[in-house]
Amino acid sequence: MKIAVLSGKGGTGKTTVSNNLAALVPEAVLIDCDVEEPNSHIFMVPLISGELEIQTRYPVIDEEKCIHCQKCAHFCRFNAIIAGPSLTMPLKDLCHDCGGCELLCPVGAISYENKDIGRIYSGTSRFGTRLIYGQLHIAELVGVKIINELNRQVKNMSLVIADSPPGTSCATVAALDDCDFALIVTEPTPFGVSDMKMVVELLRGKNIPFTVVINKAGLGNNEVYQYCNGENILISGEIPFDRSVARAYATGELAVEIDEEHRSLYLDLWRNVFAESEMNLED
Amino acid sequence: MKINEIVVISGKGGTGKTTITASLIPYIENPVIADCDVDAPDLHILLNPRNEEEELFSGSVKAKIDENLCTQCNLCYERCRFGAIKTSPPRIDTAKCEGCALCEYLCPSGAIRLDDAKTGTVYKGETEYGPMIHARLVPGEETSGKLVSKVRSEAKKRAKAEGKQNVIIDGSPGIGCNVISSITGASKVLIVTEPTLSGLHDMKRVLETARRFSGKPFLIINKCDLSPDMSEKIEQEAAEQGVPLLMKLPFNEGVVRAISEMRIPSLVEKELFKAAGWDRVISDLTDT
Amino acid sequence: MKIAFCSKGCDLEAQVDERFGRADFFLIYNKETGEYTSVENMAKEAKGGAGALAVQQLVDNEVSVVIAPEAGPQALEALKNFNITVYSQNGAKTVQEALNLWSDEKLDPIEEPGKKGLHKV
Repeated sequence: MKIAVLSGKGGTGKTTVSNNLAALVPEAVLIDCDVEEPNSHIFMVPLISGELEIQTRYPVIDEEKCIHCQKCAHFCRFNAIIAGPSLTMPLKDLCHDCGGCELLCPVGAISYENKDIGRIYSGTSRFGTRLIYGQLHIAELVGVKIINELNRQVKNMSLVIADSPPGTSCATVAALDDCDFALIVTEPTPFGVSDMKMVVELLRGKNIPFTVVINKAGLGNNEVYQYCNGENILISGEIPFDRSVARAYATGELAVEIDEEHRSLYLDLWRNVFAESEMNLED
Repeated sequence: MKINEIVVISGKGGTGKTTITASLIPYIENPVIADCDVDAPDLHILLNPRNEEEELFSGSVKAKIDENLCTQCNLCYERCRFGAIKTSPPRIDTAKCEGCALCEYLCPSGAIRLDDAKTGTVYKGETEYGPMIHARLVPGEETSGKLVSKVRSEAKKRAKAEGKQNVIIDGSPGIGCNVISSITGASKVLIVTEPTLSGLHDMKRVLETARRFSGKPFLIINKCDLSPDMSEKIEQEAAEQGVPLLMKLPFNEGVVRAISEMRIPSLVEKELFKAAGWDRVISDLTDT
Repeated sequence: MKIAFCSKGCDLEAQVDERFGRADFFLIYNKETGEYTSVENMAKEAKGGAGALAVQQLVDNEVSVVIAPEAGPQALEALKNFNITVYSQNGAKTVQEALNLWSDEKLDPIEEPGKKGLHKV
C-alpha cells in the first residue's frame, strides 16, 4: 500500500502531516519525493545507512571513428549535439538520455558517460522508522529520475507514505507512480482551495482515490469545506492552527511529540486515512 | 530602457511569495505583473485580471501510435528509456513521453509520429495595477520550465511595448527548472523565507541556485516572530553570505484574513508593513 | 570569410537583435564579395537548446565570426570548439553599424559567458 501525501500549494503541511503519521506508524516506510527541497530528514534525523548517487547519461564521440555524417545532430530533438564538417560536439547539459544517437550512428562512434544529478539517502529515523529521501543537485533541472529510483526501492514494501513535491508537474506525477491512495493536505484559504482543485484533477485523471485533511484549520475561510462538500470529497481530519505547534515545527519537533492531544489527532487521522485506503483497494 | 525584472522565490513552499508579490504591486510604478508559478498559480485570484486573451502553449512534442499501422512488434516498448510505452498493444503514456522521437525512428511500419503537445494555457489580461500575464500548466506536464519562460517573455514584451520599466514576477517553490527559468538573467531576485529549520535548509539551496543563475539576491523573513531563534539563525546565514536582509515581517492574522478576502495585505495592514520597513524594500527593489 | 550578425531583419539596415540563441535572423556577410544573405533563425521557437541550435546554424553556414549581444556558457564553449570568434555588438544599433565597427576593429571579443544557465526566454 503506497499512500502519497500531496497538496498543490506549497507550505500547506505535506511534510508536517506525512512525518507526524510516519512517526506514529512504525511499519510505514517514509519516502521523501520532494527532491528539490526535501525536509523529512530535518524532522526524522535519520542515521544514514545507505547512499546512492543517481546519474543520467550523455553522449561522448570517438572522433577517430566519427565520419561527420551529422546524423546524430539532425536526429537529436534537444539540440544536444552540434555537428560540423570536422567536429561533433555533444552538450551534456541538454541531453535527455534517450539513447537514440548511439543507436543510429552508422560507425558506432557514440558511447555514453554518466553525470551525477542527485543522491538518495536511506536510514533509520529517531523514531526507529525507515526513511528514504532524495535530493537533487543544485543547478539540475528535473528530479524525476531520482523519484523513479525512490519508487523502485519501495516497490514491494507493504506500507509506504510518500511525501510528494508541491505543484502538479512531472515531479508530482512521478511521485504518484504505483500509488494506491492519496491524502491531499490543504489549508482553508483561497490559494489552498485553488491549488487543491488542480491536484484533484490530476488524481481523478489517474484514477487514484483520495481523501483530504485540512491543516491550519481556523486560519482562513470556509471555501474549502464548501468545495469538498460540493464535490463529495471526504474530509478525513482537521489539524487546527496552533502557534505552539508552529514554533515546535520551526525547530524540528513534530506535533505528535508535544502532547497527547496532538498524538490523538494524528492517530485519528491515520485511522481514517488507512480505513479509506483499504476500502478503496477492495473496490 | 532596461527592464527591471523583480522575481520572488522561496525554496520552501508556503513562506509567502504570493503574499509579498501582491503586496509589492501597488507600490511599484507602472508594473507589468507575471505569475510564473505555473503549476499552482494564485496571484490572479487576488488581482482578478479582466479581458484575458488566452493562448495555448506547446512546449514539447509527444509520440502517437497509429494502431492501424502498428504490427505490435514492441520494438518501441523495448527501447523507450522513459517508460513511456505500455504494451500490449503498444500505447504511449503521454505524461512520461519526452518527445525524443526514438520510437518514431525505430518503428518498422512508420506507425509513430510526433505531435505538438499542449503544455498549458497563457492568459494575458489587465488588472487595476497594470497588465498581467499568467498561465496554467496541464497537470503532469514535463516542460513547465518552457511555460515559465513563455510567461516571462510575454511580460517583457508587454513592458517594452508600453514603456513600463518594472516587471514583477511571482515565482514557484523548489530549485528546479521552473525556478531557474524564472530567474535566469533577472535584475532582482527576492527570496522570501520563514524562521524554521525547513525554511533555512531550503533557503540555502535556493540561494545557491540564485547565485548561479541571476546574481546576488535579497531576502525577506516572513512570519519572523514564529521563532525568534530561527529568525536569528537565518539572519546570521544571510550576513555570512552577504545577502541583504530587506525586512522581517511578523506573523499577523490580519494578513491571512486579507488574503482570504482577496485583498492586498500591504494595503489592508499598512501599519504592519510600514513598521517593518516596507519603504526600504520598495526602494531597494526598484533602484536600477 | 563569413561574419554573422544577430538581426531583427533581413538587410544591413535592420536593427541588431539583443538575443543570440533566439535572435530573429542571422545576417551573414561575406567579407570577400561584400554580399550577404539572411537566415531565419530556426532556434527562435525551439523548444529548448536554442543557443546550441543557433551555433549549429552558424556552423552549417561556415561562419567564422559572429557579432552577438552575449552568449551563454554552453554556446560560448561550442563556438570556441568550432573556431568561431565572438565579438560584442558594443552598443551598435543596426547591422551596418556593427559591421563598420567590426571592420574598424572597434569591437571587443566576448571571452566570458553572459548570464549563466539556460535562457529559454
